Amino acid sequence: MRTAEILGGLVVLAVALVAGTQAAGMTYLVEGVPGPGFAPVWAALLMAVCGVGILVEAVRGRAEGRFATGAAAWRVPAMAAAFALVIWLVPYLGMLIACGLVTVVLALLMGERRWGLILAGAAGAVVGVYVVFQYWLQVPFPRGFLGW
Amino acid sequence: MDTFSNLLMGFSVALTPVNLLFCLIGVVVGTIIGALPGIGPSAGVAILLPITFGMSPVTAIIMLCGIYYGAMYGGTITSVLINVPGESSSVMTAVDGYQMARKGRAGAALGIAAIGSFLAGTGSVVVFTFLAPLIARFALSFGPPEYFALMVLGLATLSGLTGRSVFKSLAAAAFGLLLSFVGMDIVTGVARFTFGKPDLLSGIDFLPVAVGLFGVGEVLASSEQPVELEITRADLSLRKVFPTVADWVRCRWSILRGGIIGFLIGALPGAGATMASFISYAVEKKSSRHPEEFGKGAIEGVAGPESANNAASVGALVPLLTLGVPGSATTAVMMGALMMYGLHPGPLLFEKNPDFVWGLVASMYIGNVLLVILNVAFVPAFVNVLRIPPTILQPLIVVFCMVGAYTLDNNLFDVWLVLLFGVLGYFMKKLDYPPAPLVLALVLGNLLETSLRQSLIISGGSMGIFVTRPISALLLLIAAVVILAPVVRFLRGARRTRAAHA
Repeated sequence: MRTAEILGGLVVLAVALVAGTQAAGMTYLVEGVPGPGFAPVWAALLMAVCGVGILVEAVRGRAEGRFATGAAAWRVPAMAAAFALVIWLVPYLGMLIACGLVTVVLALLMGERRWGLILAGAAGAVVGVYVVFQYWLQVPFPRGFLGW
Repeated sequence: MDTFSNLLMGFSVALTPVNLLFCLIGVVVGTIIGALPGIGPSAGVAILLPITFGMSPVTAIIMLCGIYYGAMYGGTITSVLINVPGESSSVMTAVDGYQMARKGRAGAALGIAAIGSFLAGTGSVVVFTFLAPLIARFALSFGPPEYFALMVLGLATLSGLTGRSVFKSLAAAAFGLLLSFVGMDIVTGVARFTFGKPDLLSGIDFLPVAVGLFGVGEVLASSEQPVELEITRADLSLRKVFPTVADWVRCRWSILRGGIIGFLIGALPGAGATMASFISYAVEKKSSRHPEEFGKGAIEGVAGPESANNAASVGALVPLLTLGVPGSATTAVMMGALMMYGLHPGPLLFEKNPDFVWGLVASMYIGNVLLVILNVAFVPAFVNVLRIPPTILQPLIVVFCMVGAYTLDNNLFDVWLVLLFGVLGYFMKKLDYPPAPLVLALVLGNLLETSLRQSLIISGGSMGIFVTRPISALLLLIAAVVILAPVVRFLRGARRTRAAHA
C-alpha cells in the first residue's frame, strides 16, 4: 500500500510540474494586475508543495486505503475498459442500444448470471432513457445503424 | 416586503402543481438515494441534474434540494435495517439504530429518526427564513476582497476538515483550481491548458467531473465486492413506527440539541452533515444519564444524529444562497446548477430573484412535511428498493451518468470526461483523496480568480488590500489557521518520531 501512496504523491508532483511549466509560459502580470498565468502558477505551486507533503507522509508509513486482490482486482479495469468501448461504439450503435449494452456488460462483469434479471435491467435502462431524455427532454441522441 | 409577505409569496410559488410534483419527486428520489449504499446526495444531485434542463430554475432547484434533504432521511433505513449506512451522515445512526432493530425495535428507530428529522429540519427552515435575509443584507456591503477571502475560507475549511491528510485534500483543491482554469481566459482571451484540443477551449464543465467522481467512481469502487444486502426482518407497520410516550420523553432534548448543532455545523463551510451527526452523537452520550446504553440500542443515539444531519442540510444552504459560497460537495454541485440556469447565488439573489429564493424556502417546509409522511407511512416501500441487486443497480447508475453527461452539450466528449474522472474518483477513493475539495475548487475557481483580479485593480496591484480590510483579513486569518493547524500537527509528529528514533 505504501507503494501506491508514493505513486500517488509522484502523480500529484508530476501534474503540478506539467501545470507549472505550462503556466510559466503565460503572462504573470498585466500592468500590475494578475494575468492569465498568475492563478495557475500559484495553484501549481500549492499542488507541488502538497505532493511533497504526501510523499513525506507515505515514506513515514502512513498508508490508507486498500485495493482489491485476486479476481476482484481485474473487475475495475475491465469495467472501465468496457465502458470506454461502449462510449466508442455510441456513434455506430446509437445511444439507446449503447445504454442496453453497457447495462448487460457491466452486470456480467460484476458477476450477475441471472439472464432474466440482466435483460430486464437492460430493457428498463433503454425504456427509461428513451422516455425521460429522448421523448420528454427531446435530447437529440446519436442514432446507430438500426436508425434508433 | 417583510419576511412574512416574502414567505407567503414563496408559498404561492412552491404550491403550484408542477413545483409540488417535483418537490415530491425530489424527496422520494432523495430518500431512495439516501437509502442505497454507495450513492450519496452529491452523486444523486449531479446525476439527476441533466433531467432538470427543461425546467424553470425554481422547479429544478426545488427538486434538487428535495433530493439533498431527502437523502438525509433515507440514509437511516439501511443504517437501522442492515447496519450499512446509506451515506456518511448516517454512520452514527447505525451504531444504536441497528442494535434497536436486533431487539425488535426497528420501527421505533425509523420512526423517531423520521420525526426528529422533521422537527429539526422544519425548525432549521424557520431559522433560515429569518436569518438568511439578514446575512444577505450584511453581505451586500462585501466587495471583491471579501468575496475572495470568503472563497479561500470555503476551500480551506473544506480541505482542512475532509479527509485524513490535509496535503491530499489541498492537492485535490489545487487540481480543481487548475481544472477551472482550462479554456479561454475570460479577461485576456488566452487559451490555458487546452493542449491544442478544441473541445477544451470552452473549459471543463463541473457536471462531467462531479458525475464521474461521485457516480462512476463510486460504482467502480463498490464493484470490487458487490454484496447483496441482507435486510433485518422488522414490523414496520404504522403502529410500530410511532414512538411511544417513553421514547418521546427520552428524545425531546436530543432532537432539539441535534437540530441546533446540525444547523450551526451545517452553516460552516466544510463541516457538513457528517460532522454534525458525529458531534451530536458525542454530545448525546456525554449528556445522557445512561451513557452505558449507547452502542447497545439507545434511542437518543438515533434521534440526535438524525436530527443533526437533517438540520445541517438546511444550514448548508445558508452560505450558498446568502454569500454564494458553497460549503460542501452537494451544495457545490447545486451552485454549479444555479449558474447553469443563469442565476448567481449570493446576496443579490434575494433582491433580484425573490420568487426563486422564497419559493425554494417555502418548498423546504412542504418537503419536510412530505418526507415525514413518506418515512413514517411508506418505509416498507423504500425497503423494497434495497432488494434490487447491486449487480443491476450499479450498471443502471453508469447508464444515467453516461446519458446525463451527454445531455449537457449533446457531445460525447463530456461522456469521455465522465469515464476519465470516474477512474480518477476510484483511485482518489482508494488512496483517501477527498473529491469534495476538487469539485468545490472547480466550481469556485473562475469566481476566485475574478475576485482576485478585481481586488488588485482596486488596490493598484497591492496585496495589502486583503489584510487592511477587516472582514477579508479576519476570513483569511481563519483560513490560515484551518490549513496550518494540521500541517503544524504533522511537523510536530515528524519531529517526535525523529526524536524517538534518535
